[in-house]
Amino acid sequence: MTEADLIAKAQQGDEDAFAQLLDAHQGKVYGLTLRLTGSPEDAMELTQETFFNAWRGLPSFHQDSKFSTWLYRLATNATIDFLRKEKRRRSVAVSSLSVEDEEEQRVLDIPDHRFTPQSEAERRELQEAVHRGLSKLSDEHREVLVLRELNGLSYGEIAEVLSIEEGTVKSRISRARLALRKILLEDGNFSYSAASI
Amino acid sequence: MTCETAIELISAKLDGELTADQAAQLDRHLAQCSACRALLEELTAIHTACEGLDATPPSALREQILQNLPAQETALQKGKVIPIHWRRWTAMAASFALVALAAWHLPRLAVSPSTGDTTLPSQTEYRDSDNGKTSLDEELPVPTTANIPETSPANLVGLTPSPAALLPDAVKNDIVDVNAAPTSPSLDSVKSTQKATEESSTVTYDTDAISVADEMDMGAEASAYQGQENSDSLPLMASARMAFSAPKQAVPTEDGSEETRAFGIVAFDEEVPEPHPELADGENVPAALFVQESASPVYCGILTLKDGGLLNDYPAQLQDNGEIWYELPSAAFFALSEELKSSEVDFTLRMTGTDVSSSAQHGLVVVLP
Repeated sequence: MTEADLIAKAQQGDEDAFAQLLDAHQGKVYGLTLRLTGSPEDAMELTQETFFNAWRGLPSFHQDSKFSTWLYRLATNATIDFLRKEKRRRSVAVSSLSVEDEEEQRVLDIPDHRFTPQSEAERRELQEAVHRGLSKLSDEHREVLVLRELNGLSYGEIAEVLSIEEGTVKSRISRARLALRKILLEDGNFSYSAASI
Repeated sequence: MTCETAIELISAKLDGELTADQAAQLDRHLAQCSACRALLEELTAIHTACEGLDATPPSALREQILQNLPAQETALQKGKVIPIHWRRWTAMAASFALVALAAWHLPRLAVSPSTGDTTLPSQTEYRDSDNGKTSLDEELPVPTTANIPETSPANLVGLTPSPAALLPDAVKNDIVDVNAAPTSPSLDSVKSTQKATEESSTVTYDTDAISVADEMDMGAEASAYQGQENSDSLPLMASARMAFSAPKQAVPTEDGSEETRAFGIVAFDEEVPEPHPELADGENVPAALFVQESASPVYCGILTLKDGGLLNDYPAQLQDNGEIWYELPSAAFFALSEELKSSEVDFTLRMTGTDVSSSAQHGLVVVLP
């Protein structure tokens, strides 16, 4: 049975079909909310809310966008709302930097060095460093980068999810990568060979 | 090509989002720029490391979702579905209250000091106030009779500044004489109150409102907004006082900067009773009604869907009884009404009542559970 068939059945109230859709997508939705919030508990709650909203809204889903994109939009909106609410509740600055901060820190004088991961252990280490670095990004940068890198969305799909222009997605992802690279450099998680190309 | 441009193309290259032309341009640049070649390698390494971002959800999550599925909505119209942003409504409601609070100072914003002519600030100006860019952060001038307009337009009912002398009886009796002429607090009393207030580091907001509270011998303590007041006898005024004496706090905004907002306004939603029907069209209404207006906005119509769906792109408020309320701009509201008339969807449209005004800028759509 294709996903379109499952969606059609779920739209008619078929919970088994919805369960199959859930199985297919809950990992990505959970991963998205986890990377955006940094909290497994919050990610569970937001994943649940996302699928509740999906179930409720399915009858009105007309497949003019991909189901996954639609789901990510539900998840992203729920998470963004949640994060804003959390920030206001705490009334304190969170650990993430603002976009402006990151812009200021942007490294335009690109070092003439090359990163060379030497081993699988180093690659794993970098992976963990990237995960930690993501949590230090601004919400705006983290959103686009996670949607791109984790969820594999195209620029057009990210633009649809976040309701921004595709050109904005392109430049924002670029700046997010530079900001992440900057964080990794500062944390000492990037090692360089002395050799220049 | 500059390195600045190349950086964006390098990022797009990793995502497979380059056109053939852009790829060729980038290749030419990379051939002659070692720094950008190094950057490409670094960003590629980060890109590769991101592959491990996937996460396995807890096994209990699946059953938790499936066993608690809510009632499924039925399709309303052809539109795509947007999630229920009921949280956003909360922020919107707070903003609305804040706008109303800013409108307390309407005369100061709207009256020309030289002519005394009353002009209405545009909606944009109200929104500016909401953003904390105008009146709320500024030192407030001492109100005088000169800057209180004699009449207020119908669509600004409740936004007229409160004559302090009118408040106590009105509130105690819960009946307000809408024909009573307003009087202004005396300049001296307001000045003295203002001076006293300036010495307080806690209450920084609304000096003329505090003067009202002082004249009522209710005090203007910061504790008012902390829920310590005895609101049994005067629930309405307690709410008003909570709002007007709300201290300001700096809160982070979405763009990372800070703005100053008055808190405590939530009391509007929780404690203010329904507006008195006789006050809806009154002029020179006291502060009590102003507060009530905040809790019960007037709509250009109220549409109730008996077999509803989800509406796109509009803030929604999930009610305790399971209803979902959407506030639509009037144009969209009437367009939806027309669409529904030509559909088979079961609905009712109410265009009369104290909460309905043809001049209102929004309509309310109630989706029954």
